[in-house]
Amino acid sequence: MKTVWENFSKERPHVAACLSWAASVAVGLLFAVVLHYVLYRIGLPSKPFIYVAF
Amino acid sequence: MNSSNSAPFWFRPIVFLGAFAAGLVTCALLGRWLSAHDYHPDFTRFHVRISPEAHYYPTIEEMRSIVRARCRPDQILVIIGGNSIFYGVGQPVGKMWTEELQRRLGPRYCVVNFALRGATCMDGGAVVAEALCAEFPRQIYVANTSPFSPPVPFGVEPYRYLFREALSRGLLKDYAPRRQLWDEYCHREMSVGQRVEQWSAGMLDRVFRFRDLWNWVGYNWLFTIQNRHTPDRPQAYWPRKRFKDEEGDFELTPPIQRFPLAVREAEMKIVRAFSAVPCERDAGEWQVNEVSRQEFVYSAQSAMPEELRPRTLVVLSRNSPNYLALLSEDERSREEFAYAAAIAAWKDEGYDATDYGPGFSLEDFGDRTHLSASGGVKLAARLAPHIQEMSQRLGYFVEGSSRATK
Repeated sequence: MKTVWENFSKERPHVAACLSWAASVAVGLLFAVVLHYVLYRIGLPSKPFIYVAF
Repeated sequence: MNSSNSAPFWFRPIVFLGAFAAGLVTCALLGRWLSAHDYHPDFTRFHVRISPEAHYYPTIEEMRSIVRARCRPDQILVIIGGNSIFYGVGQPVGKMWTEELQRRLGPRYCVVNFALRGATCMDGGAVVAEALCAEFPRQIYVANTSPFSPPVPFGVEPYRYLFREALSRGLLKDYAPRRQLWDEYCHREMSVGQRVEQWSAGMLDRVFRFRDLWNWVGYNWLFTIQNRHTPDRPQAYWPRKRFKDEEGDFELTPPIQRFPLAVREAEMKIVRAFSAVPCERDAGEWQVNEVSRQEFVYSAQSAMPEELRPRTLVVLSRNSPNYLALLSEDERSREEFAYAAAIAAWKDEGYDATDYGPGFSLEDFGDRTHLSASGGVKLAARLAPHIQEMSQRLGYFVEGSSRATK
């Protein structure tokens, strides 16, 4: 039984290819941004600095 | 086209990897570009909610951009470092001692307050001043400390990250004694794995600039870390620029109520320790004990390259007269000796040094150690002529000694 995507790809191959490219680019960019943010977060101290006046 | 047994429809591996790489490069370039432009238009100081106390760690580039946006090429840059005293705890915006200092020095100078609560004289401001010394050769660095407190060459936590950042980016002068101390510290305090992790983190941040980018995002759009100063939603996620410098005002409390009896004994122990730790009696005269002297000299020699010391003004903080008046005559003489000897010791190592000087009263302090606004005015009045005299001595008023070109 063919999937919706397979039917769509058969009917509109160029559109399907563009969508596929766009989705790969979007997810690739998203992964990059998430990794960039994770690098920032893991570089922060786990415990906050508590200032004590003395 | 994908068959029903293959990867998800969107997954084109080469395209995904290319976009991933491009995304990382874009984030890195964004981090570089954003941090090169000042995004603190209302900067007064790194108040609580834009400081490590609230999980906001200003980067070295962020701080350099703050200076570049404020200091004109024809001005002499004055960077204030040190701890909560020079930060101006108890001095709200409009009554900060550094604002008074700027007023007294006039438009020929640009004063930037990079003092941080809980920092030392070699943290924060010291690192930024050194990182800017090529770009702003006419600069004076002013920070506070206590008598014979050995300056930690690479700063203290949580501010040590600025030293690591500046070091990994090649922004500090190559100074062998400091480098040796830093290497010894790393080998002593860290395992091999931790040193590799530290080196890797520094290298990754140098390349990808993640702190620079996400600081910008956190300051301008969305802050993603809950902290004790903004524990509740939605404030926890507000961009940091929504929070203003809301430092309290000591002068709203009557002077007599600023020094509770309940803490007097504890405070007096601290007051006495200022001079009791480094000083001892020898044949009836006060002397600096050898351990304190050697530790201080070693640290002072390693803390800063020699060429930067003449432009560094170390100010020895005094305690409130409310507590000094409770010292015995002997303790008072030890106190005066300690301050005079410490000033001489700093000068012997090539720094300039001074203390608050006379004339501070009960009203000038908000607690044992922090100055009220009136105390800040007196401090500024004391330091402004000293800074002007330093500028004269360093040749900053000579024609042609202007800001270096980039």
